[in-house]
Amino acid sequence: MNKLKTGILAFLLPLFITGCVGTGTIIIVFELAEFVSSSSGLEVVEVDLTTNNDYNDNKDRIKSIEQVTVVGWLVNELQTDNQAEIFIADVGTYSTPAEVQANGTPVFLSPVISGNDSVFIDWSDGLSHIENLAALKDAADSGHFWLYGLAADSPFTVRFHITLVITMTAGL
Amino acid sequence: MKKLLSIAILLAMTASASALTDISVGAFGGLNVPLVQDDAKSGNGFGVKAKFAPVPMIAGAIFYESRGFGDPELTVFGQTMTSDGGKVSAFGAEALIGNVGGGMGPHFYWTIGLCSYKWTRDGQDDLSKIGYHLGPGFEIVLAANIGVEIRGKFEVVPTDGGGSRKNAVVFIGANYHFALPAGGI
Repeated sequence: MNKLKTGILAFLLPLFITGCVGTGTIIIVFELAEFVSSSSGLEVVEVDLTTNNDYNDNKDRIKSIEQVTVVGWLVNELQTDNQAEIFIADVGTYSTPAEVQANGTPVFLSPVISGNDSVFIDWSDGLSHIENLAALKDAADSGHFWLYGLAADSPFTVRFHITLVITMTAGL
Repeated sequence: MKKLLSIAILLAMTASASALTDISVGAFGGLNVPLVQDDAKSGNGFGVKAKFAPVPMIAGAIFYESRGFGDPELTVFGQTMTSDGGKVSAFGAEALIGNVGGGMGPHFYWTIGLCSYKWTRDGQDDLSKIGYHLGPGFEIVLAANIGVEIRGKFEVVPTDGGGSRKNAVVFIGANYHFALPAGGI
Protein backbone atom coordinates (compact mmCIF):
# COMPACT_ATOMS: atom_id res chain seq x y z
CA MET A 1 0.00 0.00 0.00
CA ASN A 2 2.91 2.33 0.74
CA LYS A 3 4.24 1.74 -2.75
CA LEU A 4 0.84 2.64 -4.14
CA LYS A 5 0.78 5.90 -2.19
CA THR A 6 4.31 6.67 -3.32
CA GLY A 7 3.30 6.04 -6.91
CA ILE A 8 0.29 8.32 -6.63
CA LEU A 9 2.41 11.06 -5.08
CA ALA A 10 5.03 10.65 -7.79
CA PHE A 11 2.27 11.13 -10.36
CA LEU A 12 0.69 14.17 -8.75
CA LEU A 13 3.75 15.98 -7.45
CA PRO A 14 5.14 17.14 -10.81
CA LEU A 15 1.72 18.48 -11.76
CA PHE A 16 1.44 20.46 -8.52
CA ILE A 17 5.02 21.67 -8.84
CA THR A 18 4.38 23.06 -12.30
CA GLY A 19 1.32 24.78 -10.87
CA CYS A 20 -0.95 23.56 -13.57
CA VAL A 21 -3.38 21.77 -11.28
CA GLY A 22 -4.05 24.94 -9.30
CA THR A 23 -5.52 26.85 -12.23
CA GLY A 24 -8.98 27.56 -13.51
CA THR A 25 -10.56 28.91 -16.67
CA ILE A 26 -12.64 32.02 -16.09
CA ILE A 27 -14.64 34.36 -18.28
CA ILE A 28 -14.31 38.12 -18.00
CA VAL A 29 -17.11 40.28 -19.38
CA PHE A 30 -15.87 43.80 -20.10
CA GLU A 31 -18.64 46.10 -21.25
CA LEU A 32 -17.63 49.18 -23.23
CA ALA A 33 -19.55 52.42 -23.06
CA GLU A 34 -21.72 52.80 -26.15
CA PHE A 35 -20.09 54.97 -28.82
CA VAL A 36 -20.67 56.18 -32.38
CA SER A 37 -17.81 56.26 -34.82
CA SER A 38 -17.88 57.76 -38.31
CA SER A 39 -15.49 58.38 -41.14
CA SER A 40 -15.54 62.07 -40.27
CA GLY A 41 -15.51 61.62 -36.49
CA LEU A 42 -13.49 58.58 -35.59
CA GLU A 43 -14.09 57.32 -32.08
CA VAL A 44 -11.43 55.63 -29.98
CA VAL A 45 -12.04 53.86 -26.69
CA GLU A 46 -9.42 53.24 -24.04
CA VAL A 47 -9.68 49.68 -22.77
CA ASP A 48 -8.26 49.38 -19.28
CA LEU A 49 -9.10 45.88 -18.13
CA THR A 50 -7.83 46.61 -14.63
CA THR A 51 -11.05 48.55 -14.06
CA ASN A 52 -12.85 45.20 -14.19
CA ASN A 53 -12.89 43.54 -10.77
CA ASP A 54 -12.72 40.00 -12.13
CA TYR A 55 -9.73 40.84 -14.30
CA ASN A 56 -8.05 42.80 -11.55
CA ASP A 57 -8.44 39.95 -9.09
CA ASN A 58 -6.63 37.59 -11.47
CA LYS A 59 -4.24 39.78 -13.46
CA ASP A 60 -1.17 38.68 -11.52
CA ARG A 61 -2.04 35.02 -11.93
CA ILE A 62 -2.87 34.89 -15.64
CA LYS A 63 -1.41 31.80 -17.27
CA SER A 64 -2.87 32.31 -20.72
CA ILE A 65 -5.60 34.12 -22.61
CA GLU A 66 -7.68 31.39 -24.22
CA GLN A 67 -10.14 33.40 -26.25
CA VAL A 68 -11.32 36.95 -26.82
CA THR A 69 -14.47 37.80 -28.68
CA VAL A 70 -16.88 40.65 -29.29
CA VAL A 71 -20.54 40.46 -28.32
CA GLY A 72 -23.23 43.08 -28.73
CA TRP A 73 -25.11 45.46 -31.00
CA LEU A 74 -23.75 47.11 -34.13
CA VAL A 75 -25.96 49.72 -35.78
CA ASN A 76 -25.35 50.99 -39.31
CA GLU A 77 -26.64 54.55 -39.20
CA LEU A 78 -26.20 55.26 -42.91
CA GLN A 79 -28.42 54.08 -45.77
CA THR A 80 -25.79 51.97 -47.54
CA ASP A 81 -24.85 48.44 -46.49
CA ASN A 82 -21.57 48.16 -44.61
CA GLN A 83 -19.50 45.99 -42.28
CA ALA A 84 -18.37 47.25 -38.90
CA GLU A 85 -14.70 46.81 -38.11
CA ILE A 86 -12.72 47.01 -34.91
CA PHE A 87 -9.03 47.81 -34.78
CA ILE A 88 -6.76 47.82 -31.76
CA ALA A 89 -3.57 49.80 -31.18
CA ASP A 90 -1.11 50.62 -28.42
CA VAL A 91 -1.90 54.32 -28.63
CA GLY A 92 -5.09 56.33 -28.80
CA THR A 93 -3.80 59.19 -30.94
CA TYR A 94 -4.92 58.16 -34.40
CA SER A 95 -7.63 60.46 -35.69
CA THR A 96 -8.44 59.18 -39.17
CA PRO A 97 -9.43 55.77 -40.54
CA ALA A 98 -6.34 55.81 -42.76
CA GLU A 99 -4.04 56.23 -39.76
CA VAL A 100 -5.73 53.40 -37.91
CA GLN A 101 -5.62 51.11 -40.92
CA ALA A 102 -1.93 51.89 -41.42
CA ASN A 103 -0.85 51.47 -37.79
CA GLY A 104 -3.47 49.43 -35.97
CA THR A 105 -4.43 45.76 -36.06
CA PRO A 106 -7.85 44.66 -37.34
CA VAL A 107 -9.42 42.24 -34.89
CA PHE A 108 -13.08 42.07 -35.83
CA LEU A 109 -15.15 42.30 -39.01
CA SER A 110 -18.91 42.06 -38.70
CA PRO A 111 -21.29 40.48 -41.19
CA VAL A 112 -22.88 42.89 -43.65
CA ILE A 113 -25.27 45.26 -41.91
CA SER A 114 -28.03 46.63 -44.11
CA GLY A 115 -28.48 50.38 -44.30
CA ASN A 116 -30.22 51.84 -41.23
CA ASP A 117 -30.25 48.41 -39.67
CA SER A 118 -28.47 46.59 -36.89
CA VAL A 119 -27.09 43.18 -36.02
CA PHE A 120 -26.60 41.47 -32.70
CA ILE A 121 -23.42 39.46 -32.44
CA ASP A 122 -23.76 36.71 -29.87
CA TRP A 123 -21.01 34.74 -28.18
CA SER A 124 -20.72 31.95 -30.71
CA ASP A 125 -21.15 34.32 -33.69
CA GLY A 126 -18.44 36.61 -32.38
CA LEU A 127 -15.80 33.93 -32.52
CA SER A 128 -16.24 33.50 -36.25
CA HIS A 129 -15.72 37.23 -36.91
CA ILE A 130 -12.50 37.62 -34.95
CA GLU A 131 -9.29 38.35 -36.88
CA ASN A 132 -5.69 38.36 -35.67
CA LEU A 133 -6.63 36.52 -32.50
CA ALA A 134 -3.00 36.33 -31.35
CA ALA A 135 -2.73 40.13 -31.30
CA LEU A 136 -6.04 40.40 -29.49
CA LYS A 137 -4.89 37.87 -26.89
CA ASP A 138 -1.65 39.79 -26.38
CA ALA A 139 -3.61 43.00 -25.91
CA ALA A 140 -5.89 41.36 -23.36
CA ASP A 141 -2.89 39.92 -21.58
CA SER A 142 -1.34 43.40 -21.33
CA GLY A 143 -4.61 44.67 -19.83
CA HIS A 144 -4.48 48.00 -21.63
CA PHE A 145 -5.02 48.97 -25.26
CA TRP A 146 -7.01 51.28 -27.51
CA LEU A 147 -9.98 50.21 -29.57
CA TYR A 148 -11.10 51.99 -32.75
CA GLY A 149 -14.48 51.65 -34.43
CA LEU A 150 -14.34 51.62 -38.22
CA ALA A 151 -16.19 50.09 -41.14
CA ALA A 152 -15.17 48.29 -44.30
CA ASP A 153 -16.48 51.03 -46.60
CA SER A 154 -16.35 54.77 -46.29
CA PRO A 155 -18.25 56.93 -45.56
CA PHE A 156 -19.64 55.21 -42.48
CA THR A 157 -21.42 55.92 -39.25
CA VAL A 158 -21.68 52.94 -36.91
CA ARG A 159 -22.97 52.75 -33.35
CA PHE A 160 -21.09 50.22 -31.24
CA HIS A 161 -22.74 48.80 -28.12
CA ILE A 162 -20.39 45.96 -27.40
CA THR A 163 -18.77 43.83 -24.75
CA LEU A 164 -15.44 42.06 -24.83
CA VAL A 165 -15.69 38.48 -23.61
CA ILE A 166 -12.30 37.24 -22.46
CA THR A 167 -11.68 33.62 -21.54
CA MET A 168 -8.49 33.08 -19.61
CA THR A 169 -6.69 30.55 -17.48
CA ALA A 170 -5.38 31.84 -14.19
CA GLY A 171 -3.92 30.49 -11.00
CA LEU A 172 -6.42 29.87 -8.24
CA MET B 1 21.04 -1.11 -28.88
CA LYS B 2 17.80 -1.40 -30.88
CA LYS B 3 18.21 -5.17 -31.10
CA LEU B 4 18.76 -5.38 -27.34
CA LEU B 5 15.66 -3.29 -26.70
CA SER B 6 13.58 -5.46 -29.05
CA ILE B 7 14.74 -8.63 -27.29
CA ALA B 8 13.98 -7.12 -23.89
CA ILE B 9 10.46 -6.15 -24.99
CA LEU B 10 9.88 -9.59 -26.51
CA LEU B 11 11.04 -11.31 -23.34
CA ALA B 12 8.85 -9.07 -21.21
CA MET B 13 5.84 -9.81 -23.43
CA THR B 14 6.53 -13.52 -23.36
CA ALA B 15 6.87 -13.50 -19.61
CA SER B 16 3.64 -11.53 -19.26
CA ALA B 17 1.73 -13.75 -21.64
CA SER B 18 2.81 -16.85 -19.80
CA ALA B 19 1.34 -15.52 -16.59
CA LEU B 20 -1.81 -13.82 -17.87
CA THR B 21 -4.55 -14.06 -15.28
CA ASP B 22 -7.29 -12.06 -17.01
CA ILE B 23 -8.22 -10.54 -20.33
CA SER B 24 -11.36 -8.49 -20.69
CA VAL B 25 -13.02 -6.08 -23.06
CA GLY B 26 -15.70 -3.64 -22.13
CA ALA B 27 -17.87 -0.70 -23.01
CA PHE B 28 -18.92 2.11 -20.74
CA GLY B 29 -20.71 5.44 -20.58
CA GLY B 30 -21.17 8.19 -18.08
CA LEU B 31 -20.56 11.77 -17.04
CA ASN B 32 -17.85 14.21 -18.06
CA VAL B 33 -17.62 17.10 -15.60
CA PRO B 34 -15.32 20.09 -16.20
CA LEU B 35 -13.67 21.39 -13.04
CA VAL B 36 -13.13 25.14 -12.57
CA GLN B 37 -13.88 25.87 -16.22
CA ASP B 38 -16.39 28.63 -16.90
CA ASP B 39 -16.34 27.87 -20.61
CA ALA B 40 -17.62 24.31 -20.41
CA LYS B 41 -20.49 22.50 -18.72
CA SER B 42 -21.07 18.90 -17.83
CA GLY B 43 -21.67 16.47 -20.63
CA ASN B 44 -21.62 12.76 -21.19
CA GLY B 45 -19.53 10.23 -23.01
CA PHE B 46 -18.87 6.64 -23.82
CA GLY B 47 -15.94 4.44 -24.60
CA VAL B 48 -14.44 1.03 -25.06
CA LYS B 49 -11.43 -0.62 -23.48
CA ALA B 50 -9.39 -3.77 -23.36
CA LYS B 51 -7.59 -4.96 -20.23
CA PHE B 52 -4.73 -7.39 -19.78
CA ALA B 53 -3.68 -8.57 -16.34
CA PRO B 54 -0.33 -10.38 -16.35
CA VAL B 55 -0.41 -10.75 -12.57
CA PRO B 56 -3.31 -10.57 -10.11
CA MET B 57 -2.39 -7.15 -8.73
CA ILE B 58 -1.36 -5.22 -11.83
CA ALA B 59 -3.03 -4.82 -15.20
CA GLY B 60 -2.67 -2.67 -18.26
CA ALA B 61 -5.49 -1.30 -20.37
CA ILE B 62 -5.97 0.65 -23.53
CA PHE B 63 -9.08 2.70 -24.09
CA TYR B 64 -10.88 5.04 -26.41
CA GLU B 65 -13.39 7.59 -25.15
CA SER B 66 -15.69 9.97 -26.98
CA ARG B 67 -17.01 12.65 -24.66
CA GLY B 68 -18.89 15.88 -24.91
CA PHE B 69 -19.16 19.03 -22.85
CA GLY B 70 -22.37 20.94 -22.40
CA ASP B 71 -22.63 24.40 -23.94
CA PRO B 72 -21.55 27.13 -21.51
CA GLU B 73 -23.93 30.05 -21.01
CA LEU B 74 -23.25 33.74 -20.77
CA THR B 75 -25.63 36.62 -20.13
CA VAL B 76 -24.72 39.88 -21.82
CA PHE B 77 -27.03 42.89 -22.23
CA GLY B 78 -29.77 40.82 -20.63
CA GLN B 79 -29.53 38.13 -23.26
CA THR B 80 -28.43 34.62 -22.37
CA MET B 81 -26.33 33.03 -25.07
CA THR B 82 -24.26 29.89 -25.45
CA SER B 83 -21.04 28.78 -27.03
CA ASP B 84 -20.13 25.33 -28.27
CA GLY B 85 -19.03 23.02 -25.46
CA GLY B 86 -17.33 20.78 -27.96
CA LYS B 87 -16.33 17.14 -28.21
CA VAL B 88 -13.38 15.32 -26.73
CA SER B 89 -11.72 12.22 -28.07
CA ALA B 90 -9.24 10.47 -25.82
CA PHE B 91 -7.15 7.48 -26.77
CA GLY B 92 -4.86 6.23 -24.07
CA ALA B 93 -3.35 3.60 -21.86
CA GLU B 94 -3.41 3.05 -18.14
CA ALA B 95 -2.10 0.86 -15.40
CA LEU B 96 -4.52 -0.73 -12.94
CA ILE B 97 -3.28 -1.52 -9.47
CA GLY B 98 -5.24 -3.56 -6.97
CA ASN B 99 -7.47 -6.57 -7.31
CA VAL B 100 -7.40 -6.81 -11.10
CA GLY B 101 -6.69 -10.48 -11.74
CA GLY B 102 -10.22 -11.43 -12.74
CA GLY B 103 -12.43 -14.09 -11.24
CA MET B 104 -15.90 -13.86 -9.79
CA GLY B 105 -16.69 -11.36 -7.08
CA PRO B 106 -15.82 -7.79 -6.21
CA HIS B 107 -12.63 -6.11 -7.37
CA PHE B 108 -11.35 -2.75 -6.21
CA TYR B 109 -8.45 -1.01 -7.91
CA TRP B 110 -6.79 2.29 -8.81
CA THR B 111 -5.94 3.45 -12.28
CA ILE B 112 -3.20 5.80 -13.39
CA GLY B 113 -2.67 6.65 -17.03
CA LEU B 114 -2.30 9.04 -19.88
CA CYS B 115 -4.05 9.73 -23.14
CA SER B 116 -3.94 11.66 -26.35
CA TYR B 117 -6.62 14.27 -25.61
CA LYS B 118 -8.26 16.25 -28.40
CA TRP B 119 -10.94 18.84 -27.67
CA THR B 120 -12.75 20.25 -30.71
CA ARG B 121 -15.07 23.27 -30.51
CA ASP B 122 -16.82 25.26 -33.21
CA GLY B 123 -14.96 28.46 -34.05
CA GLN B 124 -12.03 27.74 -31.78
CA ASP B 125 -8.65 26.12 -32.16
CA ASP B 126 -8.50 22.45 -31.21
CA LEU B 127 -6.77 21.56 -27.96
CA SER B 128 -4.54 18.55 -28.61
CA LYS B 129 -2.42 17.58 -25.63
CA ILE B 130 -1.36 14.67 -23.49
CA GLY B 131 -3.73 14.22 -20.56
CA TYR B 132 -3.02 12.43 -17.28
CA HIS B 133 -5.52 10.74 -15.03
CA LEU B 134 -5.88 8.97 -11.74
CA GLY B 135 -8.87 7.38 -10.08
CA PRO B 136 -10.55 4.44 -8.39
CA GLY B 137 -12.58 1.66 -9.93
CA PHE B 138 -14.85 -1.09 -8.67
CA GLU B 139 -16.06 -4.11 -10.58
CA ILE B 140 -18.23 -7.07 -9.69
CA VAL B 141 -17.68 -10.06 -11.94
CA LEU B 142 -20.73 -12.28 -12.26
CA ALA B 143 -21.05 -15.93 -13.12
CA ALA B 144 -21.26 -15.56 -16.89
CA ASN B 145 -17.88 -13.81 -17.11
CA ILE B 146 -19.67 -10.50 -17.25
CA GLY B 147 -18.47 -7.74 -14.96
CA VAL B 148 -20.34 -4.61 -13.97
CA GLU B 149 -17.98 -1.78 -13.30
CA ILE B 150 -18.03 1.79 -12.00
CA ARG B 151 -14.96 3.94 -12.23
CA GLY B 152 -14.01 7.53 -11.74
CA LYS B 153 -11.02 9.55 -12.70
CA PHE B 154 -9.53 12.94 -12.11
CA GLU B 155 -8.04 14.14 -15.37
CA VAL B 156 -5.49 16.90 -15.90
CA VAL B 157 -4.63 18.20 -19.36
CA PRO B 158 -1.75 20.68 -19.20
CA THR B 159 -2.18 23.66 -21.54
CA ASP B 160 0.14 26.31 -22.92
CA GLY B 161 1.27 28.91 -20.44
CA GLY B 162 1.42 26.61 -17.41
CA GLY B 163 -2.30 26.12 -16.90
CA SER B 164 -4.42 23.06 -17.33
CA ARG B 165 -7.90 21.76 -18.02
CA LYS B 166 -9.26 19.46 -15.35
CA ASN B 167 -12.17 17.08 -15.55
CA ALA B 168 -13.89 14.58 -13.31
CA VAL B 169 -15.14 11.59 -15.23
CA VAL B 170 -17.47 8.88 -13.93
CA PHE B 171 -18.25 5.84 -16.04
CA ILE B 172 -20.46 2.81 -15.57
CA GLY B 173 -19.93 -0.12 -17.87
CA ALA B 174 -19.88 -3.80 -18.51
CA ASN B 175 -16.90 -6.02 -19.27
CA TYR B 176 -16.63 -9.46 -20.75
CA HIS B 177 -13.87 -11.57 -19.17
CA PHE B 178 -12.46 -14.26 -21.38
CA ALA B 179 -12.38 -17.46 -19.42
CA LEU B 180 -8.80 -18.37 -18.53
CA PRO B 181 -7.68 -21.60 -16.96
CA ALA B 182 -7.04 -21.41 -13.23
CA GLY B 183 -3.57 -20.04 -12.61
CA GLY B 184 -3.44 -18.19 -15.92
CA ILE B 185 -2.36 -19.21 -19.39
